[in-house]
Amino acid sequence: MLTLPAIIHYTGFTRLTGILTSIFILSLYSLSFSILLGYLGLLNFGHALFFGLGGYTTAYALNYMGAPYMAAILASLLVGAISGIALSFIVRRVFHGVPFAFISLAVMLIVYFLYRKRELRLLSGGEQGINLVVPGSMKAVIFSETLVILGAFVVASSVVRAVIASRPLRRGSTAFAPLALAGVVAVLLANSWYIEELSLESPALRITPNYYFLSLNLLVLSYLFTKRLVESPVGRVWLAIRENEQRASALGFDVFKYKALAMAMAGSMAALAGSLYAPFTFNINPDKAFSPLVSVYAIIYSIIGGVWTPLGPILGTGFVVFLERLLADYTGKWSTIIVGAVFIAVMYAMPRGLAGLLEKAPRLRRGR
Amino acid sequence: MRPLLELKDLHVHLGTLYIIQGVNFRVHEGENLAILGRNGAGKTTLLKSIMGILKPSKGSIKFRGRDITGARLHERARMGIGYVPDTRRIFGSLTVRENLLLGAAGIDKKIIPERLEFVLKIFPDLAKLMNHKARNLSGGQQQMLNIARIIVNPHRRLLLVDEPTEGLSPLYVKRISEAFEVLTREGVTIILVETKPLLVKRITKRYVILSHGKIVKEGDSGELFENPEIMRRYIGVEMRGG
Amino acid sequence: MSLETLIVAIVDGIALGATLFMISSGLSLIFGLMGIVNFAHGSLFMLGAYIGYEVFSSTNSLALGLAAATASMSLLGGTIESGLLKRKSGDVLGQALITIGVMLLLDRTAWIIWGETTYKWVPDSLKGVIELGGIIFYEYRLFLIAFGAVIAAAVFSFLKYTNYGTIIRAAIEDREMVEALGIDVRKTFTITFILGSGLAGLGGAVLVPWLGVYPTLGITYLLYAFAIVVIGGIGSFTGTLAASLLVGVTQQLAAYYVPWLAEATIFILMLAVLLLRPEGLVRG
Ligand SMILES: Nc1ncnc2c1ncn2[C@@H]1O[C@H](COP(=O)(O)OP(=O)(O)O)[C@@H](O)[C@H]1O
Ligand SMILES: [Mg+2]
Repeated sequence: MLTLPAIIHYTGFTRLTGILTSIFILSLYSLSFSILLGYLGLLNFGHALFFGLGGYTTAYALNYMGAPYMAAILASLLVGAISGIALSFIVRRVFHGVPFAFISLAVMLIVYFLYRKRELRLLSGGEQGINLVVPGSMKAVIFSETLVILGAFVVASSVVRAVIASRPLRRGSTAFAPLALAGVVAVLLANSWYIEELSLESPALRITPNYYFLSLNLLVLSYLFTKRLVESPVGRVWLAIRENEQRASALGFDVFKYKALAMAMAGSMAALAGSLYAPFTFNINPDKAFSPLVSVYAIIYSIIGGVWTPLGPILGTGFVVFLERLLADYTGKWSTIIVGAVFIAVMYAMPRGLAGLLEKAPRLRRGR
Repeated sequence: MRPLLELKDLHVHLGTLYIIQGVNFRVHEGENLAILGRNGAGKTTLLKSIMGILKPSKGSIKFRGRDITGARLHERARMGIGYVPDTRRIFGSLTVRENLLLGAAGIDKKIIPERLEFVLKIFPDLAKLMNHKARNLSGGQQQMLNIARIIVNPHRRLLLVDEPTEGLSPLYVKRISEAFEVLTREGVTIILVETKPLLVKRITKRYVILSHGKIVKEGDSGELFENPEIMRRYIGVEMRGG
Repeated sequence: MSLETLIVAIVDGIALGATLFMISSGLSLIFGLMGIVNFAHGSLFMLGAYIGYEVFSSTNSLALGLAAATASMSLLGGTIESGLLKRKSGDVLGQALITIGVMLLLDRTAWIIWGETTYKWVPDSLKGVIELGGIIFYEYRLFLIAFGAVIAAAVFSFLKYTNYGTIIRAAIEDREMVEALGIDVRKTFTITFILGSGLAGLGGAVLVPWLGVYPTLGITYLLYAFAIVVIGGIGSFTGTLAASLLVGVTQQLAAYYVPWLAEATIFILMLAVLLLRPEGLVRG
């Protein structure tokens, strides 16, 4: 995985690097969607809102304010978290099921249809969108970004702990084993040294390997963070809320706080994906950002992969993106139809998604 | 004689809660049964399980000699079980007539007028309300419709009635109690969940007392009236007559 | 901002509302009765429009095109329900997700067959305009209003005067209680899907002479229909009719007077209803 771009680069098959990079970025997005659906039972029809806000925030920061890329990413994380919390307050009275799904859809559609209007093209770039001023040398960015995001997650962890401190929770394995963490960080940082060789090419060629490493690093970190969180007491409370909200509330948990926390986390993670996707594809426009189809793809990736484990959406995204982009060479226009058919088949044959295939045999017997 | 209804070792869970914990009883044709017990004892849960709204986790239910444990809700209704829920689940946006006609679904069209006449004789108050939306009826009228909707169908052999007089004025209590007497004469068997001893005595022959999902006492309904101590001890109800 | 513009905008809005009712009423019934958020509904609307266009342009008959669209979409809807959704009965989330897959399949298939072009066909008999009190109205849009009224009356009669209609209305309120009366509610599901899908196909086809058919028609009108169902109250006939007209008129008025808000107004309305009156504007 780590040396792949270098090998691919020298064998001339650069397209694979691009596809893998898309997978890493979109996996971040579907992972954020799956947290809500899999752990809280919240089906977010308007999930693209967060993704789009991340993309546009990055565009504004880079193009209009000339900010460094790192600042743009951090701003996106912040905007994503704030909008997740804001949406939580909007739906506060009906924070479940169909009402939640439709309220989040309505909010996203209002933004979508406004952004598509010529009259607001200063904000949105109109239907064509905004072409991003893509950051030049990325080596420093990737290196420091990895550290900064790691820091952000550490801060987030302490926020999580502060938020739920009102209620004593059984202390689980809430901390990374420091050594394992150091190892992961070392490997991630080592990634950035490959850039040296690859960056000799023209900027357009340089963008892909740069983003390959950056998004791989961020995906690995986000995955580890999510996995640790859902296995922590917070994740257990989330599951308890999904199973029976009244009971969780009767046990003394502030259900709204836990849901808002998940929304903040999902919002910032989806915004991070948008913040990577916009410059990676050189452009952000309303259809790439806020369209219902972007939300639909979050559902497709997640369900095909399985929402019950953080690994699921990553597998699902990988599978679907490969199918759509790589097999498009052979199946042409029909690749999306194949995806639709696979999606329906998975609904019947594999209720636990692709991730269900990796389960140990005894788990399988338990059925759906 | 073959019992009309027979429950064998019935257990019911609601989610993770263990509500009905092994109930056995038989009801013979014409032998109305009262189910008594404190709030939360599991009376409603038991009726819903007999009707097929809830699935038991263990045990069996036999109706007229047939095992119906796995039968679906509408199938049990077709076999002759009627359910009068405690919360009046009448169809508010439908007229009284439409509510009644739904209750008569599946019967011979020719006898529908005759059946409507039958229920309107029992509940004359409904006659002038036939074209009103059910949600505009008073609480007592809704309860009469709740019962009328079930008994308009002549195929009902067993009625599961859940606290029918809860919150009603004495006039309506009287109407409803008379209705049950008429039905009993017509050969319908009633399982009644009630807390008013007088009503229990008038309508039922036998009683069972449910506590924490188990039957803790049973006997003839007459003795409830003669021996108020039973009601106080098991149900916490003071004898107040009607 | 003349009175004339205002009247024309309102008439256009009612004509649009008539079409919106055809797509929304089926969606609302399916949602109210079965609890399924049917994402494939907009695709049926769009396929109805394409099939309508093909038959219009080859036979030059409005009636034949409308009939073909209605019949074919009824068939497709019935097939989706009995072939795909029935097997997942009880799992409403799973069913909604399956319709998302169906939507993807149908929309993409339509795109492969018909491409990006907008197709339009206008019947000769309704090509003209009518002048009333100095204001010019398009004949076809007036026809849409009349046609919509007929369809609404037909749907109303079905729900009000047939056995199936009564059962559907009752089951939307309390399905369990209908079954406790001895009625197998599942038997009405296929009927409801056939009826709703036919109406959607009809609505798509009847819109072709005015706005034409294009690849994003399905998703656009699906979203409008979502808004209408929410605004009117899930499963309510009166609510769906009122909300269709409200959304149609609001959209047209906004398009004339505040173009940059046009579509957004609908979803602002939807959001407001969800937050202030989650059960919708009309009850039962
Ligand atoms: N939907 C439900 N979910 C969880 N628990 C329930 C539900 N309905 C009832 N219960 C519980 O089940 C027990 C039995 O309830 P019920 O059968 O309604 O009792 P009764 O009718 O005798 O008052 C009660 O403790 C009640 O709190
Ligand atoms: Mg009760």
